[in-house]
Amino acid sequence: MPTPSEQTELLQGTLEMLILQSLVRGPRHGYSIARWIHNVSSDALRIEEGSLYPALHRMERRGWIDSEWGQSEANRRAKFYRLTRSGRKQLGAKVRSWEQLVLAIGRVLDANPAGAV
Amino acid sequence: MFRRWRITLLDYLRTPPGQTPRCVTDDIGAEIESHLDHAIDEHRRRGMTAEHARQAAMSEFGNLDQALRDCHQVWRIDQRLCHWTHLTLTTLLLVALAYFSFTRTPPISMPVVDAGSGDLHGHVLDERSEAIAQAHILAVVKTWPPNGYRQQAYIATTGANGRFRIENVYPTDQKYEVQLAVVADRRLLESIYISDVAGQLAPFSFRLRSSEPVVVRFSTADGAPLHGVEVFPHRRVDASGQDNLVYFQGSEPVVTTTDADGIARLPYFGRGDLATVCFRVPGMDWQTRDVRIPRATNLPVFDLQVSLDTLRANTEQPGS
Repeated sequence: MPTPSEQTELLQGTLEMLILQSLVRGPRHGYSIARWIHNVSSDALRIEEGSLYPALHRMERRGWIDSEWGQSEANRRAKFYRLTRSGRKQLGAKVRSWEQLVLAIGRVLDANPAGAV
Repeated sequence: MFRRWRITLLDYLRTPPGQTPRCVTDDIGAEIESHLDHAIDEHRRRGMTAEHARQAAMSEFGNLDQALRDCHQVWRIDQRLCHWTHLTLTTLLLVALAYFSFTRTPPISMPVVDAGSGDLHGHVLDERSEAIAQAHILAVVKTWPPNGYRQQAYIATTGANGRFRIENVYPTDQKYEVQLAVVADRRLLESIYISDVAGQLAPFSFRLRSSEPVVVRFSTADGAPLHGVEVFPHRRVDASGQDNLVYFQGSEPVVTTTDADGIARLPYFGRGDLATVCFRVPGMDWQTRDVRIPRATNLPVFDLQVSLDTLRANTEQPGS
């Protein structure tokens, strides 16, 4: 398990992509989304949970996700978010953009610093 | 998408300016509370005390106030959008109203009613074919303009040659009806009714016969003369059943008033006629009374006794 210093702060804009990805398999409530990201990243990605909700509401306003109150697995009332068709398209676009960014960064890191400009 | 816009619009209409809709505020609060409850549950499952679990949950959540403010801000963007849209549309509406009111549209005016180009004209003669001057021509023209009905009275008097003309009183291209009465001193009242006609009317030709000097006297039930009673000849049905009528509308020129003895002269009827007089005691409503003109040589003065109490009751009845 990474120590707090080893936990990675999220790049700006990636939180929305991760939230959308968390909803691909079905609706989740806010706490569940935070836990899922934490777990699948093996605790490497730390989301400040307070920042999760403005992002969720912003995405809902944009029509990427829908929300509905329901009953959680802990038998508590919770607001569940569901991916919309628009959100699914948005996720595809964000993933492609992310992959291009990773590829570009990889090229930079693989490049020989002494090479020609 | 449409549903979201509808909800946003309803929220905007329900929310005072500059505030987040109450339903959203309640929703955000409940959602964050639910999040913290889930976190506390999990920490407690791991063996923390309630207090420590709460502290840990709060710590992991971060700045609660900031999160609430950020969430509200997200929804206020919609409110601001609606607000600016509202202001813009209102401004555009006012500008458009001002533009059309002052520059493009003509001033609002009542439609001008064009009575038409048809004339009523003709002559009035006596039984010797001599012209009767100063005979009153009382005309009522009925027309049916678009979406309505119009009844208009016209009056004229004959000239020295017995002729009269009332110009532009009916439409020649539409259906109309005309009631025309002629009332002349010491001549029988005559009238004609022309229905369902179109086009120009031919000249009228009236030949009025001499009448009897009919006199009526108005008095109260106890015999006191009634001064100032307005009277006019309303109808004359002759012995053959021929009906001649003066419409109430336009009857002003032939209204006379009783003198101090309650006397009014109505020289418009002949022997054997059924005369209907229309009268109004000052302060009362108009009434009618029939008088049969006898064939006897000497005509009496026709006494018309009026019960003021009855008249007053009849007058007050509609409003009481």
